[in-house]
Parts: sequence; C-alpha cells; structure tokens
Amino acid sequence: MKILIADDSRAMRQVIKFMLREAGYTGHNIIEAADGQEALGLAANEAPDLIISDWNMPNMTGIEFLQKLREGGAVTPFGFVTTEVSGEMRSIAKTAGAAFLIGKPFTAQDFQLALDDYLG
Amino acid sequence: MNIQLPNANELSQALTALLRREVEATALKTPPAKPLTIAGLYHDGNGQLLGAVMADLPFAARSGACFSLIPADVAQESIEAGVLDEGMRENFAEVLNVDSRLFTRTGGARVALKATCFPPAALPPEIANPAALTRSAHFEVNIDDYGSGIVRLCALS
Repeated sequence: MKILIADDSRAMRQVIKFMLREAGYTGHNIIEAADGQEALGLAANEAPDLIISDWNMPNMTGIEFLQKLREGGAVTPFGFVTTEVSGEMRSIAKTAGAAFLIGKPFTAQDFQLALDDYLG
Repeated sequence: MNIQLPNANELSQALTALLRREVEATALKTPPAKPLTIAGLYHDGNGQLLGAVMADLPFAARSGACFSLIPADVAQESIEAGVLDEGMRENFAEVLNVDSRLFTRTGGARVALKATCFPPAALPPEIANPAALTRSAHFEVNIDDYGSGIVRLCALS
C-alpha cells in the first residue's frame, strides 16, 4: 500500500515511519509532504491508499487539505496525527471526513487501534 | 481559561510518552543560576496566551535528539558548541509542539503552540522577566541515556 504522511516537522515524519514499523506495518511505500499544499498535489499525482496528516502546517493546514481532498471527490482514508485533541477539533475532523485522530504523543498501540482496519 | 501546571510526576509521564524513553522530572526548589533562553508559547483557540515552556540548551538538545532518534553524542556536541543548528532547533520545536499536551487533557479545551524562541532572539515580552512569572515551576529533567536539563513551566492566564 502507498501511505502519504504530511507533517511540517521532518522529525515527526521520521517518528511516524518508525512507529508504523513498531506497530507491525512494514513493507509499505511511504511518500512525504511538508505541508497541506504539497500533500494535496501528491494525493492527486500519487493516489495514496491512506493519508496520515498533521493538523497545524504552514501554507495549508491539515483540515484544509482534507476539505479540499473531499471537495475534489477523493475518498482516500484520511486520519490526523496531531496535538489537536480537544473535543471541538475532533468534531471538526469527523465532520470533514477524517477516519481517525491519533493524539501526540502516541504509542505503537495507538497506531494499531487506528490503522488496523486499513493496514491490518 | 485558567490552566493548571503539571507536577513532576505528570511531566515525567508526558515526556516518557513523547520521547519513548524513561524520563524523570524533579521539581527544583530554587531556580537555576543561568537564565533559560529557549521557549515555546501556547495559546487557546481565540489566540489568548495561556502558558509557556522554557528550557536550557541541554534539555532542548537532548530531548530534541531523543525525540528524533538522533544519538546522544550529537546532542552533546550541540551542548558543547553552545548552539542548536537548524535541524536541532526543528527537532526541539516539535517537542515544544507536543508539549502543548502538558496544558490540556484529551477532549478538553484547545491549547496550541503559538511561537518558539531560540537564541540569539530575545525572549518574548510576556516571559522576558523571570521574576514576574509567579505561576511557574522549575524541573530538572533526566532523559535515560541522554542526560539532563532544566525546564520551566509557566501559566500565563
């Protein structure tokens, strides 16, 4: 499967890849974007099977990325990995079509709980 | 919103989860002699300033390296050089970003990192006078295999 990871922190993208391996999800093709704008382009050109995105990013936020993706008709499973864990933000994410929201900091078990339906 | 500062145990647990390594925070009764020059500022959804995390260079270098899976030796080189390069600053900025969780609880009100400050930039006016930060606590934080540094948590609302 092809997984798109969007996060403006290179370190966090690295940690997410590490955590995917820790959770047992190996052998997938990972592509990376540093903001929502770049991620939107990659989603159009690379057709990922799953998108894991940060919320707060420059140029285009994660929620704007998700909204634009859905406006364009894409139904790719999309989840947030973010510090934005308030009830309000969870509700906004769900309404916009997010499948899951993993709060930072996270564990391999958090990834398994959220991703097993898509990668298990 | 009146935020509550975590205690040493809560800080230890939060950093252990973030850094995926044993972390022990100990409350300090007296502030460190050297001023803390690295900081993150946190706000709510309406832009109101809520809190700050201040750190010394050793904590920033060690926690940023540990978070990013960089060897402890690299952090030590930064400490000895007395400066964080761009990559190390980016790594610690993400630690500060996740530290917003120190001021909130899952499902609670929104708290987000608003700005970071690294030398040579001066600290923002809201935290520039250490004596004025009455609701704050200093901690010595030891990260297993990486070493220790100083953190100050401040409530600003």
